[in-house]
This record gives sequence, C-alpha cells and structure tokens, in this order.
Amino acid sequence: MQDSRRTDGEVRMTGTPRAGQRTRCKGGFALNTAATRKESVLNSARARRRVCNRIWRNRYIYLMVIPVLIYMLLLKYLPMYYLRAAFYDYKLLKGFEGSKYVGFKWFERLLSSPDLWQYIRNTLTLNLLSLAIVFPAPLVFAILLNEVRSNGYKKVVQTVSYMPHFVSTVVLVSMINNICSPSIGVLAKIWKSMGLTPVNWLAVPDYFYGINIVSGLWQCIGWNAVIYISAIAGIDQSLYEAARMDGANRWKQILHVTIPGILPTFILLLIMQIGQLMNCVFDKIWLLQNTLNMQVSEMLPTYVYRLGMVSQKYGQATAGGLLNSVISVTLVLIANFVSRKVSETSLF
Amino acid sequence: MSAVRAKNKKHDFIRRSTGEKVFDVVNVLIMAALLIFFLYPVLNVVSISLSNEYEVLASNVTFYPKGFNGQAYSTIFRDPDLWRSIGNSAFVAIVGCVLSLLATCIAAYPLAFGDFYGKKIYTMVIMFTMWFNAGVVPMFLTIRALGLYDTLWALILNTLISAYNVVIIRSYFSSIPFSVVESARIDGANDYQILIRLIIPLSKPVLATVALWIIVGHWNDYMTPLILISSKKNKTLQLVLKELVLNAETSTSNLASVNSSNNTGVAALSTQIRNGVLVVSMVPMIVIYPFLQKFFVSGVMLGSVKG
Amino acid sequence: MKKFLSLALALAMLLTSVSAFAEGLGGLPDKWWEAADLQPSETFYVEGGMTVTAMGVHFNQYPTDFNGCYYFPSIEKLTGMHFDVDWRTDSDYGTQVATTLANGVENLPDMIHPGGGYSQSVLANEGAIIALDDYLDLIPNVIAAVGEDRMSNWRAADGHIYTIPTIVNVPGSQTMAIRKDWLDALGMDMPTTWEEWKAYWYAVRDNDMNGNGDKSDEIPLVLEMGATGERCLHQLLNAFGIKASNDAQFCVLEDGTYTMVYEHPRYREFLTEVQQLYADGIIDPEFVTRYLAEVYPTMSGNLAGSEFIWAEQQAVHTETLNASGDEDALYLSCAPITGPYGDQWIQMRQGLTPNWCITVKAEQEGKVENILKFWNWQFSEEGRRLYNYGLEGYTYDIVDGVEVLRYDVVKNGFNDYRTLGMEFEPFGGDWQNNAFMQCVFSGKTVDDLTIPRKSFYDGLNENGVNAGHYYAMPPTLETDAYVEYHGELITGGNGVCTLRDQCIAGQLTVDEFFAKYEALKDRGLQDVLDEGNEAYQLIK
Repeated sequence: MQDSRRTDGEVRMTGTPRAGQRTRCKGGFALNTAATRKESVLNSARARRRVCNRIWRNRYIYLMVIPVLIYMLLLKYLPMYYLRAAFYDYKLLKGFEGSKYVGFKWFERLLSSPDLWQYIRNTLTLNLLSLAIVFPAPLVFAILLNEVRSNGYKKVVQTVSYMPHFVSTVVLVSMINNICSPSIGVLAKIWKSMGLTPVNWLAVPDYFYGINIVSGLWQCIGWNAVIYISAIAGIDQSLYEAARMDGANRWKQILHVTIPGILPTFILLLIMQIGQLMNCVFDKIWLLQNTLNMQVSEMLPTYVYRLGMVSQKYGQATAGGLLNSVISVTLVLIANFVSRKVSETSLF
Repeated sequence: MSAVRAKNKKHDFIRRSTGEKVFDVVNVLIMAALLIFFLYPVLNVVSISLSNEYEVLASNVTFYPKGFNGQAYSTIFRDPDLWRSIGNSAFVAIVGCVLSLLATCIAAYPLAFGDFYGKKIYTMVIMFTMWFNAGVVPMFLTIRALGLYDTLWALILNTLISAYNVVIIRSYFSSIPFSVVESARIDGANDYQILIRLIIPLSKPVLATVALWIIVGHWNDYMTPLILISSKKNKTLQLVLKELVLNAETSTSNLASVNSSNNTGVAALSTQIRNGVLVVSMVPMIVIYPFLQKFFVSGVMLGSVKG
Repeated sequence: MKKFLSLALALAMLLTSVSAFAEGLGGLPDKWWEAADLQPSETFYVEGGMTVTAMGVHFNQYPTDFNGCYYFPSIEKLTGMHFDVDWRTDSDYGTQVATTLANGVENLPDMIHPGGGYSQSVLANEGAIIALDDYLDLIPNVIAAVGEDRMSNWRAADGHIYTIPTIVNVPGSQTMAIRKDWLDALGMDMPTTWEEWKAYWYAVRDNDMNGNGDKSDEIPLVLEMGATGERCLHQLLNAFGIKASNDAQFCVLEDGTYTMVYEHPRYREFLTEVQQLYADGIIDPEFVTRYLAEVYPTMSGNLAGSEFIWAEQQAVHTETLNASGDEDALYLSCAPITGPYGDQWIQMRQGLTPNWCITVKAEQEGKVENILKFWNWQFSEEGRRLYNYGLEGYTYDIVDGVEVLRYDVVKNGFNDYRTLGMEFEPFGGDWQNNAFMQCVFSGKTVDDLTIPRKSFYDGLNENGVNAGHYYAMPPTLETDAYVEYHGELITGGNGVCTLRDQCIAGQLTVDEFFAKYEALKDRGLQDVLDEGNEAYQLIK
C-alpha cells in the first residue's frame, strides 16, 4: 500500500524518506548516468561503492528477506512445478514421464460448452451482488458497533456476531432448507398466517441469489467486521478530539475521522475481493443447487467440478485451477491499477 | 478499553442533540435485531443437540431444548481419540499462531520499512503465492519430501506465511510513521530489534486480528490434516469429529432391528451428533475472543490520516 | 467466561459417566478371542504368514484396530494372512486416493478400495490395479457366490473383472409405506390398482387428514430425490414398467438393448402423467429438494400420505407420532405402486458391491496368488462362518446343523453384532440371510412384535408385501462417453435431469422436453447411449 500521505517533491529530496520510497540522490544508479565517457570510469567506481554501501546498510533487512524467500521457495514454489500437469493427461501413479502431453486440451474442454456464457453470467451476477451488499455490510456494522455506548453490550453483540462463522456449510444449508421449506419451515408458517400460499423458494430461480445473499450476510458480517473493528481501534484518538474541538457532531466525526481511517483497509480488501469475481464459495453453491434453480445456480467452479466429478482427471482439475488463478490475477492487476490512480491506495 | 471509556466520557462532555439520541436508540435496536438474527440459528443448533429424540425427528425444536437427551454428547466425549485430538489442535493453533505471527511480521517489515535492491522482486514473490496455489497433491508430496509427513509441524509449517496476512500487516505497518524507525536506526538499533521492540508493540490491533484468523483457521481446518496426518496419535479435532458424524450417519441409515427399544434414539442420533459436534467445535473459539479483545486498543501515535 | 467453561466441562464429564456403561459387549470378556484355540485351516494356510497392506473406506461402528475385535486376529490364526488395513473416511476419499497414487508404486498398498471418483475403470486407467480375468480359476467360491445373474454387475464397463466383491444376500430393505389410519378414515382399502392409488392421493390432497385445520399441508406421495439430482421419482418409473438403474437413468429394453430411460417407449406417457399429477398437487411440491434427510420430517411431522423409504423408518416414525400424542397414527408397509398397466416393481437390493482391487504393487511382490486364494477361502464355508457368526462356542452355537447366534450378541439388533466385529462389511464377505434375520429379530419371534415393528419386518422380508415384485437393477456403466459427458449433459445446468424436472414442474411441455433431449444427443448424449449398449452386450 502506498503511503496515503502524499509528500511534495521538496520533502522527498531533502527530508527523511517516507517508508518505501526510493531515495534519489546525486549520482543515481550506474545504469542510467548521463555522464560523458571521460567521467564514466570515475562514476562507475563511485556508483559501485554506493551500491555496496546500500546493501551493507540494509544487511538486516536482507537477513529478514532471505529466510522468508527460502520458506516461499520450499513450500510454495516447489509444489508449483506440478502445475505443469494442466497440460498433460496426468496419471498420478506414472508421473510426468508416463503421462501423455495434451497441450491445451483441458482448457478447450472447459471453454467449449455452449452454455459457458450462461455460467459466467451467473457467477458474475452473484459476485457483483455480493460485492454490492455483502461486502460493505461488515464495514457498516463495525461503524455502528463502534457507536454503541455500553461496553458490555458491545462485547456481547460482537461475540455473538461472529458465531455464525463457525457453522459448517452442511449445517448452514440444512438450516436454510428447514427455514425455506413450504411444508415445515418458519417462513411458510408466517406466509400462511398472512393468508398467502407458500412456494418452494429454494426451487425458484428468482430467489436463489436472495437466499444466497441473506445467508452470506448471516455468515460473514460478524467475522469480516473484526478487521474493521481493529482498524477503528487503531485510529488515533487525538483525531477525534481535534474534530470535536472543531465542533463536529457524531455523524461528522464518523464521516471525517472513522471512515477515512478504515478506508485504506476497505480498499485493500476490495481489491482482493475483485480477484474472486469469477470464483464462488463452492460448498454452499453445490449444496443449494437443485435441478429447478440450476439455470441460475450453476457457476463456473461447479461446472468445472462437474466435468471431472465422475472420474478424477487430475490434469483437468489443475487446468481449471490454473485458469481461475490467471483470471484472478488479471482482475486484481486491473483493480490495483485503477485504485492507485483514483485513491492512492493499492496492493502494490 | 480505557481509551474507549475515555472517549465515551468525552462524548458526554458535549450535549447530545436529539438527533444523536434518536440515533443511539435506533442503533441499540438494530444491534438487538442483529443479535436475534445471529443467535437464533445457533441456539437452534445447540437445542437440537440436547433435545429428546422424538422432538428432533419431528423437527419441533426451535431455540430451546425440548426434553433432555445428552446422548450426542456422551457419544462424542466417550470417543477415546477426542481429548488427544483437542490437545493436538490446540498445540497447532497456539504454536502455529505465535510462529506465524512472527514470520509474517518478519516478511512484512521489509516491505513497509525497507528500501533495498530486489524489493520489487520480493514483493512479487510473495504476492504471486496469493493466487497461484499448487493444490493438495503437490503439497502432500512436498511435505513428504521434507520428511514432515504425519507430524503436527507439517500443519504449522504449511501455512506459516500467508500472502494475505502479509498484506494486511504490511498495510498496518505503513501507517506507522517512518520517523519512528528512522530515529531508532540512528540510535544504532538493527532492524530485528526495531521490529520486536518497537513495531510489534505498536501493532497490537492488527496482530490480534491476524492471530484470531490463524487460530480459527487451524482449529477449523479439516482438509490439510486429512492429507498430512495418518496416525491416530496425531489426529486433530476436526478429523475425529467428522468421523463421529459419518459413523453415526452410516449406522443409522443401515438397519437396526425390529424390536430394539432404543432404535428411535439411534435414528435421531446422527442429527444430534452433527449439531453437537458443531457446539464442541465452536465453544473454544468463542471463548478466546474476549482474551484477544484487550489488544484491540488504540496505539499511541497511530493514524492513517495525515494529522 | 471461565465459569461457563468449567460448568460446561463438568456437564460433559457428568454426561459421560452417567451414560450406560457398556458391560462386556455380547456378554464376553475383553479380548475373548485370544482364549479361543484356533488351529490353522485345512483348506488354506500360508506357511510363515504373509502381511497384506490395504487402504479402504471405513463406515459404521466396526472397530478399526487390528486387535479391536476377533476378526483379524482370527483370520491370521486360521490362514496365516495378516491384514494391515489403513481405514479412511468416506468424505474426500478421492483426494486421499490421489495422494496415495501420487506417492508412487513403492508406497501403494496391496489392496485398495475404489471410490471417491476413483472407480475401477479409473484406477485401471491409472495403471494402479490389475485385471483378475486370468486368475479366475483361483477363486471358484467367489464366482459361485456371485452367481450367474450378477455377473454383469461384477464386470467393469471395459469388460474386465477388477474387484473382489462383497456380497449381501439379504432382501431389499426399502419399501412402499402408506398411512393406514388415513386409509381407514377415508373408508378406503389398501390400493391395488393405479386408479385406487390415485383416488387415495386425491383424497389426501382434498381433506385435512392430520386434523390441524389446514387442508393444504398434507403431501400425498413423498419420494426421495437422490443427492445428485438424477434419482427422482424412481418408484413411479417402476410403476410404469420402466425398470431403471439405481440412479434412475438407465434401463434394459424388451429387446435387450441397454439405453437411457428417456428412450423407453413408456417414458413419454410417464412424463405426461407425472406432469399432470404435479399440476394437480399430488406430486410433492418440494420434490427437487426432497433428499433423504428431508423425507423423515414429513413422516414425523404428520404430513406424508405415502412414501418409499427404508423399511425401518416407518416403524420409527409411527412410534414418534404415537409418542407425541397421535395414538392412531400407523405407517404400514405395502406392495409397490401398481401402475396403469398393472406393473408392480421394486428394486432389489444391489447384492454385489465392488470391494477390493488388487494393486500392481502386490503383483510386483508376487502376492497376488495368495491374496486370491485367501478370498476364495473367505467365500468358503469356513470363511463364511467366521464372517457371519464369529467363533463357535463364544458367539454362536450349532443347533440342528444351523448356526444360531447367541442372545447376548443379537439382543441389540445389529449394534453389538457389528461392534463385536461380525459382518465386517468394509472388509467384505458373504453376508448370509440367516445371520441377517437373527439380528433383525434379536431373539424374538414374529408374534412378539408390535404392529409397527411387524410392518417393518413385512416390508423387508422376501416373503412379505414385496414378494414377487423385486427386479434386479441394471448397472450404470461408466464408459468413456459417460465419464466425459455425465457432468454436463446429465446432471448439469442444461442437462437432461434439469429438463426432466422443469417438464414435471410444468415449465416445459413434454414435446419441448423431447426436442431439447434430442438436441442433447447431438452434443454427446448419443455417444453415451451407443457406448453403453456396446459395453452391456459385452459384459452380460
């Protein structure tokens, strides 16, 4: 994240460098000096000394960087060697030597369905709706919670709010089935008492997204609010004082102190969420699908899973994951670029 | 929470307008509604796990237990592997949390406060792992190759540094004024000392948050132990609980006998166990939050808005 | 918080200690089998012993330790074979097999269970298991136990035999059940024709049968929807004479062609009739989400007029309703639904399940012969006795030449029987009807049973209400085309099952259904049909 405090050029040149910014001093890098050939020898010697100095100055940083790199290499990058399997009809027992190379066959298979655009549309609809409703909700909740006066009440509400996170997907779906059932469910009882006939809401395509959103809210608000609560706790109290001295009421304080304080976190999480735009929470969608709502409930990940469900085609599954990753990275890069231009906050 | 209390006192210093009073009342009501919204299904789960079997079969249970039947819990707690697995899960969660926090801070510090050759590459190396995940089978083979198969350390090391956590912590570090680090460097401290003595104490809120995520992540993890653990003595809680549920479900979907008097008990057992297992899993996680909450306090000189 | 924790802990301890302490299971002391003096078998014994490793799916309450029950130590004493089984859970079994395979041939177990997406054909394709076709002369007992009519269930789709099966010689345990007290209240007899069934269903729809003042909440017919969305209204398919496979997708026509049910001459009529029934409110409005777990609340909730379920469940739910005040409630087993052409069919329990595959590792180490000879022994008289009855003098006695299990073993039905290690189904063997029935009755006779329990017995015994109506289900052959197109064209968002349910729910006309079905054939379903028939002709 770039430092949200923009410094003017003057400070950059003379004052203490801000975190993460390059120091520009005279001489610069040996690579792009514009000195004449006569001075080049002298300059390169000077440059080399500067380089060594810089490395020496940062020796403890390197002492931090290197162990992390070793960990990443061993445990994250070494396994990535197996991502090659996306281009093979990979047989687990035989390894790469015993497996046939098939090129882009798996990718073609994934992208060749005539219904592909329907699945993409379903995925995007659900995710954009989620982004609009479920994603900001924890933020609003955190702000409201922060404004509660009684400490005890605040603690109770917060602890209760993240209990739903622990309910496993299977139990959650069975709860949803129970509530929405037109024969034994709570909703049906309410409907009947109002004189209306209950409908099998789970089997009607129109209600699928709604059910998903509401259950998503239930599951996520409390848990996702934790980071916003901690960000709010990290806001300098003196800023609130200053605002009060300036005569701001509670609402203005929220607007001008709290929100800007957690905005960088929010934007960060937003960028990362955009990377998931073509993904979905697999278990929940899989369990909520049924033949009558599948026109809207079949998403990309469930479609990919279906292709390989009957027989575990490892190459196919890897190709699906790879495709998903590539799409996620692209989306994040775009979101990051836009965010850097617009709000000066970005992932990198 | 003294800082918050102090803030509350200061609220009262200025007269509250009617608008603010209305807002307060509405807020309390909203919170109460949310309380019910969150609590009802959870109470339902707890109640089913404790209710009489006939009520469970007839789906009559709402948010309090009807009749009392503890057979789910007696089955769960009688499992010989359960207590050992709780110990294993606790070990992985706590040790994993401490080591993970330390490692993530070490990873995030250079990104926030370092200016060195190769910084861009270092950033990319970490970020790339957020999206490109090799999958279960390669993870298994790597752990096996490292000789860590069937150890609890495999579980800890597998998710020691997660790019997501690095981003969150780095973003928080960036809001600490660089002058802090600068002056410490001038005083002759090396970066490790700065990290441990200065930065970490200033980052309590974010560390508490990430700690919560890590602990809960380890506690709830089913898939990784399934693949990496094979011997009984190393099993973690979720494995044992899942087996209990599966065994109950398969034995009730099979035949009992025509005359056995406790058949109805058996028939409802799998539902009760499924819910009871949830309760057993949930309780420790709920209990740790108050412990972590005291770290959610305001730091002394923080602020991401330029003062 | 701390108080709450300690209270909870105390409660847990209390519950644990208060619950009935299992005194010596089956009336037997701990490790009772060690005292038994078992001599090596005359028919099969390996000098010096042999260790066989295996990886399989465990379910139910059988003990998982080698020394947890009599079974495996006894096998070792009798045959010299030491089975070292790595029992895994069913959930995510596919991933567990994947990691085992990825570990290389040296680390493969000698025997492995297919499952979790790694069916016999897939394992064979991976090169992990061997075909047993050339070894059939070693396992005559197994072949005899399988029997002629089950041979087609034994072969994989490519025609080879890969597994040692487990055989269950017990009748089907699912049955049609009807609310007898509602029949009586309506003044109707047990329905025996299609018209009578419909009359009953329409009457249930129109009247307030459960007395709660609401006429609309009763469901005349409740049928289970399979987890994948394929198995739907199976019993009604049977009523129209369509003898479908387990997943309700495949059947064998009169002329012996193996094809999908949608090609059956009666399917159009079936679909039209069911569509009409749905529109009339006879078919369960929630039929697409009526998974097995959702069927039971309709029974205990006093809503279901008739249903097709596990025989035991009707007794359970009758008792539940009686316990909550409705004294007259009674679910009774009845014969399958009679269709408009007089067909009355119910699927027979699949007697043969693929169990162990032998891996290339065992072949490399030369263990195949002994393993197969062991399984031959397992299906012999001696092996059967050990599997079904335990050890003579401890768990059973021979009375008039018939094995009789001791009362202490069967008094709790199947619970203790299985916990003791008998009928170790995950390991596999030949489960005998005699043993099954003794557990079902647990020492009582038919006359001792209460009415609901008698109805349960009626529903599942081969001489009960379903006698003469059983049919053997055709297999679902996993040909290459099936594997390729199953996800997308059968279960997918625009697959044939989705179309079928949309048609039933009235969103498509029957003609539109068949038009779209034909379109699916062009996309690959025709290959599924063709390859399926080819394979079936080979293996039957």
